[in-house]
Amino acid sequence: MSKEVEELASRYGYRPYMVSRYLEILGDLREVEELLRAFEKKLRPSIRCNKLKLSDCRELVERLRKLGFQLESIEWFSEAYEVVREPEKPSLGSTNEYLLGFYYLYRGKASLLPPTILNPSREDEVVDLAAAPGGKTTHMAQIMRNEGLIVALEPNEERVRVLRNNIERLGVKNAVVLRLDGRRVSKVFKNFFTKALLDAPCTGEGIIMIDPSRKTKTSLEDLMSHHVKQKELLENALDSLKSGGRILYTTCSIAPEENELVLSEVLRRRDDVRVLSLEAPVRLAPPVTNYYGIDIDERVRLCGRTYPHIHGMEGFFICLMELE
Amino acid sequence: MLDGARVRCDKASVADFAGELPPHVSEYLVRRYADATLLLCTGRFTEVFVLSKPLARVVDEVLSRGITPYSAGLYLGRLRKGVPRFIPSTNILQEIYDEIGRVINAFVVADEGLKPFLYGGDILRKSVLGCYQPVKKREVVAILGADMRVYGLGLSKVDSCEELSEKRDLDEVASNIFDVGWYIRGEVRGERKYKT
Repeated sequence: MSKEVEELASRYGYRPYMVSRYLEILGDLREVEELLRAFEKKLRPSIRCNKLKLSDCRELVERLRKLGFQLESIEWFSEAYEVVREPEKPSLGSTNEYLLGFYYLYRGKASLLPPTILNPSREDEVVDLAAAPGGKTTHMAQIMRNEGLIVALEPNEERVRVLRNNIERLGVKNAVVLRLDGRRVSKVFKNFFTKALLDAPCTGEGIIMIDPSRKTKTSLEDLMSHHVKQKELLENALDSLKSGGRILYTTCSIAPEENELVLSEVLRRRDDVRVLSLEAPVRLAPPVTNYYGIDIDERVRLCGRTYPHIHGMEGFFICLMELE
Repeated sequence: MLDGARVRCDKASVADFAGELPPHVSEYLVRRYADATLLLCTGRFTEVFVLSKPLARVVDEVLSRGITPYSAGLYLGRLRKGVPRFIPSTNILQEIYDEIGRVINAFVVADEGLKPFLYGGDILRKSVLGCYQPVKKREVVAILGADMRVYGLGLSKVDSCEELSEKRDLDEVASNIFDVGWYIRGEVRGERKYKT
């Protein structure tokens, strides 16, 4: 590990192995520092107007404006807004409009991308494998206009309760919530779904601006244990799809171990999956294809990434695949 | 909340079950969701859900494998052994009012009364701006804000809107059963959903 990497890690308070990996990902020390600096900046919260409860989002904007909130439209998503100014009270998570389910609150806007890219239709039967707290489930329900089917899975007792509350608060009618580990989904639903969303539980290495404890809390062992779980989830998600079904794999991590390497290993084991080009509303950064000399499957080249220092949002990895 | 293995779920048709519900809910259900299936899940209490055809198919599949859904479709409300027999969800009431274009069985409450209500408080006479029949003592009454949105449910302490008008300012006219503030409080404090 170079002295420069150790110095950067110490200055920004990271485990050195993390910064060393960022240099391997980005290839340039100056850009690594830009990334670390972006992780120091607070993100503006975003809200998605819930068309399942409101026919006209202008009503929401006006009601929040009267409370002292200033909203700015997100240019690539007409029904969502960045919150550029908040009053002292009430907080965004306690307004009457929030309680009535007029909007879903995000810590950053990158979470809007996966459901938008997967774009389920009213005829689709969708599984959301790690659904809590429900931002993506309720977003998909909105895209599907409360028709079709979403099976939302969450194994944790507390988190499944939060998921149900958000589904109820936002007026979702097309979801079945099951307290089930996504790694068991194909045992219950073999070749069943037309679409799958896998926002895999991860180390959160893309949301350090939201949770700075992630600078130090992930050991290499933790990282590898996430990697193993992510592969199991992805394999199960693929087996739960019908032929021609699509799956969107995403994480809020910039770690290749949780993204490109997961996909590469799963793709190599199967000959029935193809990676699709992404039609994203923002220009995504390319995936990592050279990483410590590891041979990464060619098909991963079609996946994409967001970075805080490039996109002004959380660091996400996104990949769309189709089962043949 | 549904609670895994201790919960038993059964299905029913809307036509068979509608008689168990208050007239305005059952009439709407029969008209709008005639083809839907109802799912009744009983643990410590009975929760009722409305399922579209695709949802009913999945629920059949999971029930046959011994898995109990945690929730499914449109949450219609909770069925009780005592009075009130049925507590409708705020979502179904809002849907009914939006669909029929008028409000029934409700109190409209001013902002100063709505604020304490959203922290679990009860409704005092002085904060009621409007009353919509039928209203019956010890039965559920919808609590609306001045924006005509359903913010919760109360247990009426008056037998009619006429009786309400005879009450004094500080008389309690409805006790809080459920308010949408619970969506925050329930998560933070683990408070039970319905106070009855």
